[in-house]
Amino acid sequence: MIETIFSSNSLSSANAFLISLVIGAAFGWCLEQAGFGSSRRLAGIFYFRDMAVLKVMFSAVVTAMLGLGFAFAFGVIRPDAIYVPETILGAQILGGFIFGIGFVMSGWCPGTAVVGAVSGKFDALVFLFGAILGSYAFNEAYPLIEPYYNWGNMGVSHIYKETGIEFGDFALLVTVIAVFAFWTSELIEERFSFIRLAERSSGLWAFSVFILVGAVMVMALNRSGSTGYKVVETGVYASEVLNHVELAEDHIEPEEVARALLAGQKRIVIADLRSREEYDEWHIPGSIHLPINSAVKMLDRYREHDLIVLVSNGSVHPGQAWVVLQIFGYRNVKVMADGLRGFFDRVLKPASLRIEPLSEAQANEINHWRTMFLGSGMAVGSASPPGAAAE
Amino acid sequence: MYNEQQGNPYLNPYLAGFLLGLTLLASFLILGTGLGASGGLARISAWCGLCINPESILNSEYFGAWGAQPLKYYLVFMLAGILLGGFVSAFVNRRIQIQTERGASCPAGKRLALALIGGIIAGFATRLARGCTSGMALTGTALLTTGGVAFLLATFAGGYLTAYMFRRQWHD
Repeated sequence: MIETIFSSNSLSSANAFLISLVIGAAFGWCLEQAGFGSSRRLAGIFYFRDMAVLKVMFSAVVTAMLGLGFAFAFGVIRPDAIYVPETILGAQILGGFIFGIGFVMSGWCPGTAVVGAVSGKFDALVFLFGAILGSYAFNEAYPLIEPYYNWGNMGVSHIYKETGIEFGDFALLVTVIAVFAFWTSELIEERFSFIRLAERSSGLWAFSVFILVGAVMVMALNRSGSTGYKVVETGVYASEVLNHVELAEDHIEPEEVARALLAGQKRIVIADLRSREEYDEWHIPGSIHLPINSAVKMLDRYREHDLIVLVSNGSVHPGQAWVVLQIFGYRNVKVMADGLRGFFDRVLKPASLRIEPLSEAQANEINHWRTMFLGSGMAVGSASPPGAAAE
Repeated sequence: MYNEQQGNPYLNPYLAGFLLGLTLLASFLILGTGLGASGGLARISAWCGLCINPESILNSEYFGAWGAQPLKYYLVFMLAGILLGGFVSAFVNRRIQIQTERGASCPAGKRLALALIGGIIAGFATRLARGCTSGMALTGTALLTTGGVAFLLATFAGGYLTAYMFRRQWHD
């Protein structure tokens, strides 16, 4: 697993600036090589004369998308080491539409105009001046536009998740659409362009096959274990796993969790398997949200911890995840018995509401737990976790 | 008449796209972010504003958040890189030619006016959408974000719906 400048939180370091400069240079070189230092060529796509914009954009998108697919599948990088731009759907559709008008009007977009300007295009320089003015105008108008600026905020949103399709399947779909678009572009140019451009279509067969094979591989890798982890020989016997169950070593009581957390002597991580919404509503302070389908991958960094406690509302999902984690060689994982419902009943329920007789020491401990886990004055008398309806 | 391009022919678009994709992939794996251009331009805009009227820029809600040194930002350096890389490639391939690119029948003044107004519109829109063709369409779509794909489709919708109005500037 590699760390990125972003994940090590050093995008403002001199090192990051130098790397940005080098990557920018490669970017500028590619744009110029593609012929994007020419506004006539860029605008060509809107008049079906020159489809280079579509060919280059789609080739780049598919290459980077599949490259990332491989990188994730082989565990080269964690998905959260990459900054994913947030989706603010309304603002981006509106902004995109207006941007498209500016694009066709001027024949430039910001990156290409920089390349155009250094290629000697005076219109590119004028465009850049305009874009700087436009950014300035946005700042001046910001108080008025603010509602639109946050219109349709969805946070980090992936289109394959929104449509309920697996990443690998969606990547294959995008690749198929790209190949279709490439061949259609060639036909369009044949029909509408006046002259044959020198570079037309050579190598398109090879490139089409190349990306389709890549996409099928990414899809297959993603199918075999939802996050690319395959069951490998870990030397774990089924009988051994089941033995742990028989000896009740698979679970830990809520009171023990509370005591261990407050003692603070062990490195403990509480992994909350509920939905994001339930987690956001309330979780045991300090616990992490763990989507169950990426449990094996996400817990990897806690392998050396003393204890990983799986919690959900009940204990069915944690129990199932526990078995899978055992297969992957996790020895430090336990399920919290009775889940969060148990935690609320046995740890957080106020002493005054309890039926069983309590010693003074027990009552004090309960009060201490309530202060530590709920904060003072919060959730008085609350005996059930909020949103505990579904497991 | 159509192709008056100087110097060496351009690279095969699929190869250029593949190399651009590798650049984007390298950016993801090393920087942990995608590519971007409009962010750098907006920072320059904020810097210009600071030179003219520091008080009002620092107190403004949008530019103000970038502080007194908006140029100390990785996308500004990436923009400088684009300039360098683009220049080297254009120079080596003898494609540098001072001109206002337009159709033979279009006056230069009209072309420049369209470039200016288009630039203002595009610059404004990038702030609203939080990115341009590089940061939103290319990067966002490669990461398969909902916003990136929506921006890409909306850009082409806006472009194709209005392309007819601006066609004359390319007529020879």
